[in-house]
Amino acid sequence: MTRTAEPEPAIKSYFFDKGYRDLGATIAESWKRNLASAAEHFDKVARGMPGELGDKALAILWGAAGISVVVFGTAVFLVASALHIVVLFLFFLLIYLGFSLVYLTERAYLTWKGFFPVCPDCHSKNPLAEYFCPQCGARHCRLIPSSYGILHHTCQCGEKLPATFFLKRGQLPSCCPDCKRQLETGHIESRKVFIPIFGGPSVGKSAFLFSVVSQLMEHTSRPGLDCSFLESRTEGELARARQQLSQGLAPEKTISTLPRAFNLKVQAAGRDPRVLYLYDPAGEAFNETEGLLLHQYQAYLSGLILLIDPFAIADVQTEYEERMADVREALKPSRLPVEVALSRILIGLEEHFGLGKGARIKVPVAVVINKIDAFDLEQKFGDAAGLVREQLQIWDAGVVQQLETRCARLRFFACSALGRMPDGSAQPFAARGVLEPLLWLLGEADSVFASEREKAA
Amino acid sequence: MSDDSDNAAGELFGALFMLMLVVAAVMLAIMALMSLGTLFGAGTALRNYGLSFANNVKPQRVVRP
Repeated sequence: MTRTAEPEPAIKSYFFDKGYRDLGATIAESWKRNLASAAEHFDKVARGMPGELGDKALAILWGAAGISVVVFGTAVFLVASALHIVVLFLFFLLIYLGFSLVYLTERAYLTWKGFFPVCPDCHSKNPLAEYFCPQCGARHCRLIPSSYGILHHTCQCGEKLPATFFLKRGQLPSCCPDCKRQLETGHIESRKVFIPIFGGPSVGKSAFLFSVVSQLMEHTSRPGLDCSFLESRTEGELARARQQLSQGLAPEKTISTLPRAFNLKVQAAGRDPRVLYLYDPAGEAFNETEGLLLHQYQAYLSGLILLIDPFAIADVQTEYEERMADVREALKPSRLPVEVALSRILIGLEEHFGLGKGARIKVPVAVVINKIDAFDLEQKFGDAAGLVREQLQIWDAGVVQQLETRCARLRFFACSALGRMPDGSAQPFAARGVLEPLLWLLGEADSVFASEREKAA
Repeated sequence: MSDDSDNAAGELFGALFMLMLVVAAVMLAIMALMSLGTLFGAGTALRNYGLSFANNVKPQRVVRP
């Protein structure tokens, strides 16, 4: 994206800006002063020449002085200006080298750490966030070591702002350069894991999201692993969802086709924290290929959860046709066939997010069959991932084949995001099998979570 | 006869020598005045640059609201 370079609301380094204005003003003023001095001396010549011998002698003195002021004045201001320029240029060069060095060191360090700002709202990934002056609120678009300062920028209000990661720039209030929404430090200065939950409408993505986050919080409440919220908004969302689930109410359906990321900060003992970006797009986004066009996070995925509603598979519908009639309202079978949803995901990735035609998705993909609490599905799947694959193969061999052809790292899971059928009772929902796919994905995506993956396995 | 002409020539040389001395003294005086003037002018030019530098070269000031 190209952006017009707005001037920063900061004071530029003297040697990049005012120094040259000062040099020009010095030259202009000294030249004016020389002309005035010469004119004054020549006036004295004009007054002295017609007079006595003594006056004439003084006239000679002043005449010589007048000429000398012009000649030497020019020479002096040429030499002094050259010196002035050399000094300015030397400092310019020193500062240029200084900020280039700090900037390159910072970039290298951030690249090595894997830190880059990602907006949870518009999903744009930028090399730099925009920062606000805590004093006057002015927006600084390029708060980096530059001609505005090597380590600090001075805001126009006089506030000194850290211009580098090393001086805790991330603690300043900040926003996304594209959508201007507020960012937290964790959105900028952290290593991140991006996992969307994909699947057609009514496959249970929202229930899965809140159940998995809830279980992850419980899972990490033991020593060695710490899970916390990045924003109070997310904490509030989860609290509401937990309350609903505890009252036997299914979480509300996601309306926005372009979801806001659900962020969590997960930290293994002695390791840098990771910020988890979980995405729950509305299933309607999968109703058309272009529906996923704006989901920019697909350009930097760490892994993918493909949630499957078994009751969207024709063979399952036939098998349970009679029993489904009574519980259709509670079961809410997805109307989008799995292979269609999968094809749209693949086409979207191919057309807009750099996946080669027919190429394999390199990030790990967890295929999760949801709603296994219904009827006797749980007995069919058992606990092993192999059994899940086999059962899916029986129901829809085409989907399994497509998944295995297009996904380099694939694993099958089965879960119940609610734990039971939503039958209107106030009995709490208790999800089963939702955490394993996420822990497997985390372990595959980031070595820090490898031990968690082993435990999940 | 030859004594008279020798005396006249001597007087002429003497007068010319005196004139040269006077001219040289005047020239020396003028040159001294010019040198002095030149030094004064150069000093004025240097002072002018110094004053201009002091007037214009100042660090940036932040006006806190």
